[in-house]
Amino acid sequence: MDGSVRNALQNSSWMGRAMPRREDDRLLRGQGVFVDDLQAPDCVFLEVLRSPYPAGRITALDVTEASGMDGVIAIYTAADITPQADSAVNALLPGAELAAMEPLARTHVRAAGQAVAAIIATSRDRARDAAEAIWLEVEGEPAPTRARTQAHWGQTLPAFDNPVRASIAHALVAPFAMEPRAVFAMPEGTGLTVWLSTQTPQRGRDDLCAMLGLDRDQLRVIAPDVGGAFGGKASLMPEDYLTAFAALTLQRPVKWAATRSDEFLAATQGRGASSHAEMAVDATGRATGLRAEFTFPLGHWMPYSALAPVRNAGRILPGPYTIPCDVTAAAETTEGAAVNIYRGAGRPEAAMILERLMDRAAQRLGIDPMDMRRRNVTTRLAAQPDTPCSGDFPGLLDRLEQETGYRALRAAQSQRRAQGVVCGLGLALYVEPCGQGLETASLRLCEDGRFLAITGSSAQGQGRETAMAQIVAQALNLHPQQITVSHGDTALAPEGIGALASRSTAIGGAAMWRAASGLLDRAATLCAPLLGCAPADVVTSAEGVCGGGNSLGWADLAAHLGADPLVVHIRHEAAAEAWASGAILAEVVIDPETGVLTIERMTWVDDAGIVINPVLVQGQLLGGAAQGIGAATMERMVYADGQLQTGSLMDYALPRATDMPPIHLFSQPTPSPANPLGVKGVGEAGCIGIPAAILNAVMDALPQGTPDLTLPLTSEKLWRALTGSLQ
Amino acid sequence: MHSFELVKPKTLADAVAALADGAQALSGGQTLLPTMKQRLADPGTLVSLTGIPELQGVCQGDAGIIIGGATPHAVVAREAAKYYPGLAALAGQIGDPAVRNRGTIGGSIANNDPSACYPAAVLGSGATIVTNTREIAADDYFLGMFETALEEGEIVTAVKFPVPQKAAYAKFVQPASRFALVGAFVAQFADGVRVAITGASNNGVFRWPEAEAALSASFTPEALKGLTLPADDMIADLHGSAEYRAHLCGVMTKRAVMAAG
Amino acid sequence: MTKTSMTVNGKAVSAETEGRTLLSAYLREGLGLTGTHIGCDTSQCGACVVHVDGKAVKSCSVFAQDVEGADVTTIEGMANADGSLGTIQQAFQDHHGLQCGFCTPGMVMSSAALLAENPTPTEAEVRHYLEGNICRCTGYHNIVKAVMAASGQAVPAE
Repeated sequence: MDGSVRNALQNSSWMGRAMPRREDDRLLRGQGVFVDDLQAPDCVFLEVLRSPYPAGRITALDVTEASGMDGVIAIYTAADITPQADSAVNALLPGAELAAMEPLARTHVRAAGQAVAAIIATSRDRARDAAEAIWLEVEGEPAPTRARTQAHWGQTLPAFDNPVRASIAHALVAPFAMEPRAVFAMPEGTGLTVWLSTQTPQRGRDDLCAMLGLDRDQLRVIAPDVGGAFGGKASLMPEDYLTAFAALTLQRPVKWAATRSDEFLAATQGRGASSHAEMAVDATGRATGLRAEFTFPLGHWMPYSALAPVRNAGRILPGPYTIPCDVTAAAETTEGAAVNIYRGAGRPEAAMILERLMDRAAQRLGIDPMDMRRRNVTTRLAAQPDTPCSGDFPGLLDRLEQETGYRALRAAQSQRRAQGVVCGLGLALYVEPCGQGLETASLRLCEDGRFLAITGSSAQGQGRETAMAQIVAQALNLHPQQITVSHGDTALAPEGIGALASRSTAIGGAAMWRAASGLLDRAATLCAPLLGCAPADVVTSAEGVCGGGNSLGWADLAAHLGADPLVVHIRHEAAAEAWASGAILAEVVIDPETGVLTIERMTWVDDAGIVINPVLVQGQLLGGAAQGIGAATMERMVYADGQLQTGSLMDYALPRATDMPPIHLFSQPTPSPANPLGVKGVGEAGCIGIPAAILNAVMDALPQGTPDLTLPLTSEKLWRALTGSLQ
Repeated sequence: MHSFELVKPKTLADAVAALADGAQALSGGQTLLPTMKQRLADPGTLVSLTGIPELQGVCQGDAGIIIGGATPHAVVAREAAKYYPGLAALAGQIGDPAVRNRGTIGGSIANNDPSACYPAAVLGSGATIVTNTREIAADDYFLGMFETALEEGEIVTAVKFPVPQKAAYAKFVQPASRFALVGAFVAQFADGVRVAITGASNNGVFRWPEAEAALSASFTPEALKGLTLPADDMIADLHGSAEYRAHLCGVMTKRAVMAAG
Repeated sequence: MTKTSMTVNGKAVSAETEGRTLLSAYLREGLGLTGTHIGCDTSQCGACVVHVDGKAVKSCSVFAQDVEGADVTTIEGMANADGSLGTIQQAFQDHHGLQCGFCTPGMVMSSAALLAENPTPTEAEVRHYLEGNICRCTGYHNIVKAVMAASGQAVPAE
């Protein structure tokens, strides 16, 4: 952590403060602006005809009748669109095979739900009426495998002698942001302005420019209010291109908004990996080797970040432990919706198999799972690629033990079991790498004396504006209310990455801190002669600058600077990756008559590094925990014979208010050396550690010898495990 | 959804006339609207029944309580509580509060979703379905999944419930839809116990004669010990196998008995 | 097309509708009140909850023509007369009961309906009442705290 940050925190006014969010007022009044809220008088609407058939060859596609229907302006099939480039795929692994999107299916449908035609009409209903009149025939043919990538991490280890083993099958899940995806594209000059419900506006701009054949300055992407994303809005999607193409071609505003049915069918999914691992353990409980194999499904095409989960799973092991590792992970296209990053993105899969092995080893050796972890945690952290930047793993375990009364809980377990209660305790110790790469920030003193902070990051509910204002206020000794924070607009921040991988505070916040520090330095240099003092004596405050017994208000300073305003642009490249960590204990009971799982309590010690706003951190932890509980206990996307069985909330379960257990949160930070603020990420922790703890607790509750259960841990599965009737 | 014309009769007679031409009845709409959004139903005319005063209300009759066919679940939950608490409690568990403010008993039983709650109460109570043309005993009304004895254009105007000495509904919730994966309604009358189960069978709501006989002899959870239902005709889907549903029938019936007191 | 009239947030309003025009579309597109959101198509998520004649209703699951003449309140009508946030809205801000804000209008409307029926609910009653309101961001605990606070009761610790 930067010396200046250390000083700032000691005189802390804003960073670390639990402040209410500035975003809330308009959202609470219903004055948020989400993409589908945008209207234009001559706007037309795009709908997508999706294949109701699974993979096969298109033998008929006739749009004649539909084209003549009331209100229809245009219908596009693959022959009508002219992408100038393939959609980009981030080749994160060496030798990766890539499978770009087909915005509209050409000769073959590769999965049910794939877009086959785009209909543009004067209303959504008219577009859907026309979609029904399109004649589509598909002759069933299995989709050929299009891409497969495999990579290896660690060393090649010899065969283990009598290792403990574990296997996990993760269900595919839906990120399920409450706001379905939407695009509103408006012709602007020779190009477009595209409002996109996205986490990554700059990437969206770059991808659309490439596919539309536009220059960067011809296309502006704006992410207005975005109703959640969780990785599902991080990469360009076919409808984004189709809507932009339609607007450009028709020279009118075009809007598309997914229905929830569209989202289940064709939005990106997450998870779905299967893992098999074995761990060699010596008689004292030291793990001497870990071998793991992951297979990740990719769906029928690869969005930009498709290889991030497989890469993360491979590179994270052995997580918080010191164990020689031999990890192979493969990813291949499958028949189904595209699989992309989803909150955790490979980290949950790595954490879960590792924590399962720890519990299996503890069970085999007859030692407590807590002690098993203590014997294997890393205690000396070296700042190297793919190792945690800082952390006190034994400290996390100690705090967890203390806050839960762990030993007493274990003792009480035998009494409860004697009374017929099916109960279990499950631990998870996890690490969370929080993003690599760059982010941009700029800070400007405006004419009216207010400050405009522009971040290249974006926001989908994290409270970005509030946190960034706190950082700038801290650096310049202002009040946050003097700072307007802008995000999500490529006209204001042409370069940036956006919000994903839990990187926005560690990298985006660091960029903003540097911008504010830079502005402080420039202000000092500029004002010293005005004030008649040395630059080192210039002090900033809410009122303005002062030094040498003189002062100058911010607005006056801006006026003085005139056409050469005080502005700093920073392009910040993270020197190293920040790694968060945590330890969780789940306490569960299972109703033996029904298999229903009740989580009695979750206790969670989290290390998110230096915290800018503890309220925002708590919100991210709880929100992530809910998604983790969902993935562990109820969420699954299911295909049968190529058809999606879980096409609506009638069949896709996700947590409601009544499903949430008490969650006791404790903060035990260690500052990160990876960025000047000392911050780490926090957004994905709930998805990483919570499911692993729940699985361990359930397996602890179930009879010894219960084979590995697949996710989600439904009540029927648990009932069958208890009654010995597993299928 | 497809276009249609909405007509809003103010009297039952007007509604019957409007439905005579093959129009679709619209009551609470909490099932019909999602169906129409999926374009799985395509009525040319919808006849709204919720503006007809004669179809509303909960009142005490000679032989029990009478609930107007277009009475929302929330109203039943509130106003039937003093007469028939077991029924009121069932109504209060359907869907969620907003759904309960629109969804109606007539709509529910006319649709006869095999996972809906009301059919269990209606069959479990031995209720009488009153239509614009006749009265149908519950035992004769439910004919199978989404199938009832109603003729084309026939409206459920009211349901008459005899009030039992004790009754309760135990619902095992399907975690996605929050409908009943298995729901058991148990009602003890002077002349015996009725047990009706929804959510479990491919044929929709059904009575469990062995459980009824056992509980009529002794209205206790123990009386059900050893009683099982075959899995043969049970629904098997993503949310539960036939065996699991068969097993839950026993568990939820027992829990309904315990809840009935 | 027909002209359909009702009262929305205390004002007499009118907009063109077809039979198939949902109340949610009437509000969002007919009247430009986009605070009511659409999150699903199976009447389950609750983002579209408004009050119709004092009752919480999913506006996506009722036809505008079917509630002609009704008295409708949306999220845009929940602030105080002086423009300050209403009690429930303020409690949501105080307790970090919203993140992305998409489910929030429905949550506020459902919470208001709850407190009108049951002014001092238990925590369990709050959770149960919100069964038809899905949130993907917050994990619900802070929403429950907000509702308890808005009801004037002690806020649960966890």
